[in-house]
Amino acid sequence: MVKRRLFERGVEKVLFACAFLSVAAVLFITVFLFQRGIPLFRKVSVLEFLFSTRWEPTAENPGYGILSFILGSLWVTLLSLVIAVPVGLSAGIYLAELSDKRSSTAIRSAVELLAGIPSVVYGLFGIAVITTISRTVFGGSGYNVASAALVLSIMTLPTIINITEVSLRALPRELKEGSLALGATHWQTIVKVLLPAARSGILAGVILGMGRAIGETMAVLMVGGNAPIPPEGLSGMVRTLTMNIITDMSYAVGDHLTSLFTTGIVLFLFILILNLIVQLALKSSISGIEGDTGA
Amino acid sequence: MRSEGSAASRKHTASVRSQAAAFFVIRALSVFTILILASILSFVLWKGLRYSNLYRSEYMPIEESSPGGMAIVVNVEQDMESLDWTTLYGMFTDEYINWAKIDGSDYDLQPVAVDPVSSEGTAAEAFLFGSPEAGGVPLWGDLVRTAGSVEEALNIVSSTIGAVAVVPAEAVLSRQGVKTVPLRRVVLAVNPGVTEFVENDQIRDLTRSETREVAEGKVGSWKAFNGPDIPVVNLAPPPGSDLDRLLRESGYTVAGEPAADTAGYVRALSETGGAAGYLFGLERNLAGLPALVQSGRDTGWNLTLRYLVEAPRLSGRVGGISTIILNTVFMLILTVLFAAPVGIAAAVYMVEYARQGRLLRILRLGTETLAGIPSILFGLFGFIFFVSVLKFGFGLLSGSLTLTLMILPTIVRTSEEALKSVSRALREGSLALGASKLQTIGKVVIPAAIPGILTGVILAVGRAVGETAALLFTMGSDYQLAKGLFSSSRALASHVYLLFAEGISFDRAFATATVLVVVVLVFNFTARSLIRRMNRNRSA
Repeated sequence: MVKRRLFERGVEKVLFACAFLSVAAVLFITVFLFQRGIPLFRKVSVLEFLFSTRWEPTAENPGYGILSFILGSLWVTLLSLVIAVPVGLSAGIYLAELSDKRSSTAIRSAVELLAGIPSVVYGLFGIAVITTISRTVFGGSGYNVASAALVLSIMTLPTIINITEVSLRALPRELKEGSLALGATHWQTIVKVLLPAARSGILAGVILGMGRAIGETMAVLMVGGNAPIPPEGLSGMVRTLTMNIITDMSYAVGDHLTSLFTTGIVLFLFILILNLIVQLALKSSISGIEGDTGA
Repeated sequence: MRSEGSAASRKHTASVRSQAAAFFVIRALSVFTILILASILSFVLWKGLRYSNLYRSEYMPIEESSPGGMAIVVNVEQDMESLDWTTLYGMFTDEYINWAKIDGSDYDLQPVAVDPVSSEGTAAEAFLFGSPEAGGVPLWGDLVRTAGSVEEALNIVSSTIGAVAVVPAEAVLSRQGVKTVPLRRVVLAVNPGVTEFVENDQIRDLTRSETREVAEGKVGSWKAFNGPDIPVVNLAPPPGSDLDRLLRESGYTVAGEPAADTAGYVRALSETGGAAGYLFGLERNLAGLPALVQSGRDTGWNLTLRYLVEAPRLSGRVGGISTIILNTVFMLILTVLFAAPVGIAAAVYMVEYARQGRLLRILRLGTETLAGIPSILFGLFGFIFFVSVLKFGFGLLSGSLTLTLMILPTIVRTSEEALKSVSRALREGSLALGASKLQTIGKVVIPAAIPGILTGVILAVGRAVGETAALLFTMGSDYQLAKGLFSSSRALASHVYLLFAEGISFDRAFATATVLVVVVLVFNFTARSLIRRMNRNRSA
């Protein structure tokens, strides 16, 4: 009996170790990224690294400024949201409020499949179709901010649609019924009651989508042009933080390699901040709903 | 009262109208989502299955496996469909030094000639350069290696990739190690006047069907193709000649009066203004006549069974993707072996053991954060930790371990849901029967949750199979079959990217992408049908 209990204790320890692995992995990733990336600041000041656009890591007097890439990441991400948010919100509202069973099944499977398509395939599609469109609209090579943003907007759609639908469905029935009982039309109910009530959940979805966009590598790498310069308008070539890491990884050595890990740290911090906002938004959305029903 | 009522109703109508408009827009945008998916999928599948390349050539699409009783033989490893006469001639006259411009491979070219002292050698020489009576002059290039006999020439070809020889067709029958390449050697030759410039404009490229229409006498004047304003004069080859027979067999009809003999036919072509007639490449060269250029799009099957079962060669330029598919399978098996037990164990702990509170919150936060980390950062971490610190090097093991960390959150989360949905009654029944907690979990809870857990694992594998950024600098990029856990290898998604990035072939990238998409779809449908079956069981 004692032996049995000891065994069960042992198993519990092993299970705990497995459960702790995710936490450990996050800690390990953080520690290793910082350990490899921070030494760059012995040679380059933090300000110069973040706010200079001179990226010449292999020059005789090397420059390690990643401002262009930070701007590039922000540009393509925000621009992709401008496209993805309206479409994603609409599809989410449609799924939660308007659709009949058949069309919702069709749209939901489409969204799931969109989420499952590998990013290299989006990249290939982007090269063959989106850059061609971009070339005819903006001229030049077609490998530019607009193409990258367009590809990213398709890739972030599933996240935004899913979370919009889930947040709308999570709302208590009374909200909708009360509004309709007061004589509001369905549309008025959606816009004035449901969307505001679900706003933090929707915000979380948008930010999750943003996180996915800012961390995306392959698809933007294939359509963005990858020139290490600050992006100039929609038709300018762009290099994002992720592209910078993967492009130079194959040949970087010494400080150059270190600077790639430092770039990784910046990307990591962006993601952590976005994650934090999502957690806060979701927490407030849960308490918000509870508060509403309580009142 | 009445006016108030009508104002209200007007307001009502307006809001109904704006609602209709808004719903219309929403519905349209939702349908738009489906359209995007449909266009991406169908585009990738279509491009993957069919290739479509621009071609520009003087030669008609008539392929002969034994032109004039001869056969063009290359090593069996050489990946090529057919040759045209100009290219063949160029191979024996030092026009090419390797196969890059011929079939895209980078083998060195080794033309082999049978010594012209023998009768076979003389035949080959006449085939390439024309017989002395017809005014042919042998112009063998310096690259050409002379073989004493047909047998020796075939031996050279079967032992050297990149070798090519012209030998009598009957010598090649049932011969191992070599293969015959069909030759295209018919052009539509025209009188030199036809291709002359007229006010800075020259006769344009024709499509294949336009070229045939010219030969069939359906075109009145060369002006129809931006040429000079001369009427088309159709000439036909002498009846019973090789050319005449070939055209008949291939279903080509020719307008115009047949010539008496070949010499007269060629002379008529070069002396009659506006004349056009089919001619072999050799005779056309000897007479120095221009020929019409055809251009257009060539389409065909891109993704063939051969592509799936052959090993890639020359960075994937030639061959298929069999080793890459196998590497992908190995990678997925390893990843599941690592990730599934750990992920399920983690979920068991979080559902069955952990108490609500700080610890559980930290574990959840860890999983959520891990799920949000972009794949490129996993790649960086895998590169430092698995490849450098643990010294696993670029290989299957490093790649699978990196992927394991990436897909762990998916498995943990779905397993958690599956475990939670097992009813209390089952657990309590088991405990009441005297089973310990661990026995209950192992024999009752987990088996009941298996379908849900399996769904999670399949979804996670579906994510892993499309991963590239995390693998490029952990798993390596060798396209050979992995020889062990530490051997650098490349999976499907990386192959798609590298085919594009190394500028090897867009068509091949799409063919590989199609395979990848089909795999992802299969995983997706399996997971979804599992979910559906689970729901049905639950509701039953």
